[in-house]
Amino acid sequence: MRLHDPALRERIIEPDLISLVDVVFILIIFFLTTSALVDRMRAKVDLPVERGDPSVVEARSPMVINITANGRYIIEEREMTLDGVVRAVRQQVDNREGDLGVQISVRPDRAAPAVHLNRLADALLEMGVATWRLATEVPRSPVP
Amino acid sequence: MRFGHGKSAARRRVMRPELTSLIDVIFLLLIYFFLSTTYAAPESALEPALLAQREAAGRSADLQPQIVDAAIVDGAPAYTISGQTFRDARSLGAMLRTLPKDMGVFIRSAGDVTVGWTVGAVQAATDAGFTRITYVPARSGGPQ
Repeated sequence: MRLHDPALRERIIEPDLISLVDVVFILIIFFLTTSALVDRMRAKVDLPVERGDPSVVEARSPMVINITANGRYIIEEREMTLDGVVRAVRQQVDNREGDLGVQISVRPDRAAPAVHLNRLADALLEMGVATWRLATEVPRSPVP
Repeated sequence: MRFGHGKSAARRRVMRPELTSLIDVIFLLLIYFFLSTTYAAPESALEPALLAQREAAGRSADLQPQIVDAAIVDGAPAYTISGQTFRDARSLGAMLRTLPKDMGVFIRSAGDVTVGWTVGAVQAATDAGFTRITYVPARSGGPQ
């Protein structure tokens, strides 16, 4: 290493704070945006408390349909009727034509009457969607 | 290595980063993230296939599938399979473990039970070792 040249030495030692701050701010913006997106997908519902299936691989960017305790359907913070849900799913299905298909994650409130889940299941079947995921809340203490 | 203490005032200015302000900013960001983070319970998922009731009925004539009905029986939610009634998911799971797994199992939910009760049946079937679990939405209030 040649460190005798004073000019070279200054270049090595001088930390470039501006680039560092740039990178930090880009990371902050990224995390703020993604965390906001996740919150938008998940409505406040009390999911069924079950272990779930450990073999189910987490879907990448699934379409999340929330069902509240009083049977309202919510997608990305927007409350909609079943017809609205059908339109939104159909749009997703059309957009992903030729892809692996739309992945749907249903987050139902455990106190909701199953009739709302059944109506959604029927509507999904009408559109040719045969697989879905039912989100559960992992229990705090292990279930025997 | 010697980096030349006291060589020139200009070099010292270049070499001294404003670490105090940088640390201030980082701590402020940390505090912001701690305060703005909301606790979300860990989620899992179940992945039963979807099947219309008419298809399930069509198959029942040939294969006699194993169907778990989640419905209100005598005023209380119950699971019914092969004429046997279970009042909790654990006893249903114990029964399901004795059944052959290759045929799969159908979970048929009436509209008047809660989603939590229905998902309990799916979880019991998963825990019992079934890999082919099919959700059949019942169109009327009770089991058919």
